Amino acid sequence: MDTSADLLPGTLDLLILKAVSLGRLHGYGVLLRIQQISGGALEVQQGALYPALYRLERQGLIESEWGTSENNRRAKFYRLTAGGRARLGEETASWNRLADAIALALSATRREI
Amino acid sequence: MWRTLWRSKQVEAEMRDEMRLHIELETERLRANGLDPDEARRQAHVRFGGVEKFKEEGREARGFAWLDSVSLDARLGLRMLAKHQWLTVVGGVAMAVAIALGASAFEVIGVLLRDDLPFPGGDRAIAIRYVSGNARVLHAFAAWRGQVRTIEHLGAFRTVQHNLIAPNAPPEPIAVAEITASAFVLVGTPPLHGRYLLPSDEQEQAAPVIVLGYDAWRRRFGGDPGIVGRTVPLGGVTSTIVGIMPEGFLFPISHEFWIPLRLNPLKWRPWEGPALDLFGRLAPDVTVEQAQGELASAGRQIADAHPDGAGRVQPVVLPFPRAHRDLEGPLIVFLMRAAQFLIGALSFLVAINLAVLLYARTITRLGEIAVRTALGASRGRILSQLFVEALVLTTLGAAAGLVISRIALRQVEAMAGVVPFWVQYGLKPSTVLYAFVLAVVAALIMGVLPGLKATGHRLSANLQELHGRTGTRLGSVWSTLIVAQVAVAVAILPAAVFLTWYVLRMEFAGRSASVDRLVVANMVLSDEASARDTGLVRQRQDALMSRLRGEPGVTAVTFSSALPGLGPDRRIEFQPSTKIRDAGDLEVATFRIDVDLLGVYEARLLAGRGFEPRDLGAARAAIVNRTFVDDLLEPSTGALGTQFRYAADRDGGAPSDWYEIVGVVDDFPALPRAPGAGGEPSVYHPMGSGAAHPAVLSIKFGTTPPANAIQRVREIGAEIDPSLQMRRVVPLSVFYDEARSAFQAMALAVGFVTGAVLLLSAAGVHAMMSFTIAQRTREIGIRSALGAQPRHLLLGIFKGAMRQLALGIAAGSLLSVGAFVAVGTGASSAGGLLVTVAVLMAMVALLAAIGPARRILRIQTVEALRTVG
Repeated sequence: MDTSADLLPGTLDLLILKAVSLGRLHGYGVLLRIQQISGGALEVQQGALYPALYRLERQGLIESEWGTSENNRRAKFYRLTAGGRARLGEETASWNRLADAIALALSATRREI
Repeated sequence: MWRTLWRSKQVEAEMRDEMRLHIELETERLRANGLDPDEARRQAHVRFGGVEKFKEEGREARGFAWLDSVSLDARLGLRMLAKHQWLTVVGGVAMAVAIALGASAFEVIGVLLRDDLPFPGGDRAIAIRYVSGNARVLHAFAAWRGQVRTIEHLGAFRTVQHNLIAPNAPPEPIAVAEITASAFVLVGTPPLHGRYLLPSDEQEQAAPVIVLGYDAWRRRFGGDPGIVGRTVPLGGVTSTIVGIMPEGFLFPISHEFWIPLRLNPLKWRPWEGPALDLFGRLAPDVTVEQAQGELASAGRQIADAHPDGAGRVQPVVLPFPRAHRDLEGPLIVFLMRAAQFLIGALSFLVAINLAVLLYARTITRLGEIAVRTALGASRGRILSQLFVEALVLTTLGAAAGLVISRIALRQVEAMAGVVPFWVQYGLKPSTVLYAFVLAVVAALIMGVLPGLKATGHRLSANLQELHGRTGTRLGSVWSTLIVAQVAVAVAILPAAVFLTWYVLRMEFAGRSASVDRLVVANMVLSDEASARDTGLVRQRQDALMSRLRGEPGVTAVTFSSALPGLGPDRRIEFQPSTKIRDAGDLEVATFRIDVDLLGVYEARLLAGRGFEPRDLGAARAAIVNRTFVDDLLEPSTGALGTQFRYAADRDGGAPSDWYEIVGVVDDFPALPRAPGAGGEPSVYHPMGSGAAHPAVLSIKFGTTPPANAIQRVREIGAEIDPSLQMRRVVPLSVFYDEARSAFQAMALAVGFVTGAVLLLSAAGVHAMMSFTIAQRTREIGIRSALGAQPRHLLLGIFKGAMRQLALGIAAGSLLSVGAFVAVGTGASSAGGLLVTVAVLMAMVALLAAIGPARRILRIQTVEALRTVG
């Protein structure tokens, strides 16, 4: 059985915020981090990461600076801003409410109606 | 904009680096997992997806996408300009001329109407004028000076002429500002060397001092800083040079010499004394109205103290520049603002015109537009493309227009001669901005109007255009515009041809050989009392003339009351029995002349006799010129013996004695007058030496005057009397050149505008013809396949266009006739010109039609039928 899942629309931004909230990351690092924290279950279209990063940066949710990667390459690192942290909190809460609601709905049986 | 462009380049590079690193790192990871390098790289690319696509999305996410499309549109626009060369040339030239006119008008009128002076606090500089116009306000000024609180540095000046004798140069009359020391404090410019005038210099017993302007110091004293402290003879008084002002200091108007104003009110009765101009600066936080209020009450106090002068002083506080320009009255200011606006609106007319032309081109691109719409381009996207394309053209036109404007303004500046120091024409940032706004608005009209109309079509109909079917029709609006355009061109052409012809005539004919051999000079005695002393004037004049006659090369010296050709106008009346042409307009130029003057100027005697010494005593004899006889008298009236007199003037003076015409001379020296006017009716009276002050001397040489002639005239004047002023010593030909250069510039401007209108008309006709052919290609093909004669084909196609053209020419001719009649030139004399213009216009239209006509003849049947599809 295939264990990977496609991303729901709109969830990429949330995942990126979560990934960079755990530490400063360059673009490729964000991808690896998402794979890592989702247990390899989430497949992100790699190129799509970048427009999403730029959008978040423009919204002021993350900020970037150029630095050197672990293997001495010039790379652009992203970090969560205070605004990003607040947004992550809201989005997480909202997601959890939604997930709980859907889980509840899906677990309903005929007897409970 | 440039910052955004620069940033977009930086962002582009960053995006590229970032994505490249991503793919490299993924490749390395895959290799570490055991893939071979090529396969790892391939898979890394596949997993990443389309780099260009994500870059595009990235740009959009960062807000740079619009820049991309604008730069693409600009490049497309440039390519379109190169492709449609005729449209580029026509549009570019028309836009350039329109924007040149708009920008020049904006600049000139803006400068003329400015209310501030170019120095710190210059926006609060004011002048005080009087409702009555009496400027002899010495007493009022003396009273206000210590009293007025709302105006700081209250001062006064007047301009006087004095002879300055600089070392190693002939004496020359110069304009000197007699001014209060407060002027220098008001402007606040420190002197370059030495000091400026101080209040102590205004004391009557103080030593005479003078302050020099920068240019005068460079020109007359070789820029020697050591000149400060030395003395210089000025108008019979030896003055000490105490300072030199820096470059650009010309306060109050355009002065380069300043001496203290020393006026003792006790020497004059109230409302007498020299005319003064008052100036000052509004005190901090004081408005013009408050200053006005204080002066008005001060004025009333003075009026109470001097009942005989009551009502004379009604001071008006005005911004300084406004008080010193001849543009009084809100109506004039309003009219100038209106002119500024209307000339600016001209570029919109041109833009609408070009929009019509562009519409014809846009129509040919309907297919392309339809394809793009089908592929998902929004209407806004297509409109913005058309806008940017038009903007490329109008911006280029605006740039060229600004260059033309700059050159024209320099010309205006050179012709204007000495102007107030705050009148500086250049292209100010506001003017450049104005031209750019004109360009943007013009681009909106040119690009968006046709675009809206073109994209308003149904998509399927537009897609059909791809097959060469042009079902779109030109609207009646367009046809009307072309007719109107042709009419305007025909209406203004006669004026342009007339002006050009006039300038050419001045260039090649009309001036007698004697003009090039004459030098003229105004002899002025320095003070008013001497000037009224006829004996003294005669003595000086005779001495001067006898010395001048002794100069090498001089063949004759004569004199008159005014420069021949530039006399003052006076109204005359004839004896009731005299048959005259028109009683309404009897203004003539009048001169009093030396009995020898006609001979010296080589004026041709047409009838009667010249002046003789015996005419001096009786003073009843007058000589008139040919224009006088032709314009004023009926042909049957014999001029000789006719009597006339000067009419009572408007102030109630009595009419003069009767004069009798004893001779008629040809017009001389044929100085150019306004185009459309012939010579000016002129009357000459005999005059003895000393009878007129200032006297105009004419010095005639055997050949062209030597280079030092002007200097010699000045030197001789100074040798006779150091205070004798020789003003405006110039070769007579200079007067011609001044008048001519003004007309030349006018002709050039009219030529530019006419050229632009002609070009637009030709382009309109061309577009109309091209469009007609595009519409009827299939019909032409079939008819030519059926054996139609090319001549019939052409006639059939162009009949409609020719009808419009004829309509335009007829309307324009009517307008033109109206204009000629309005300026008083008979329609009969304009007839030939009108026919010429109509023919010229028809030829321009024919030339414009040649291209489309050749295209018709080239249309191949097969090609035409292919469009049946």
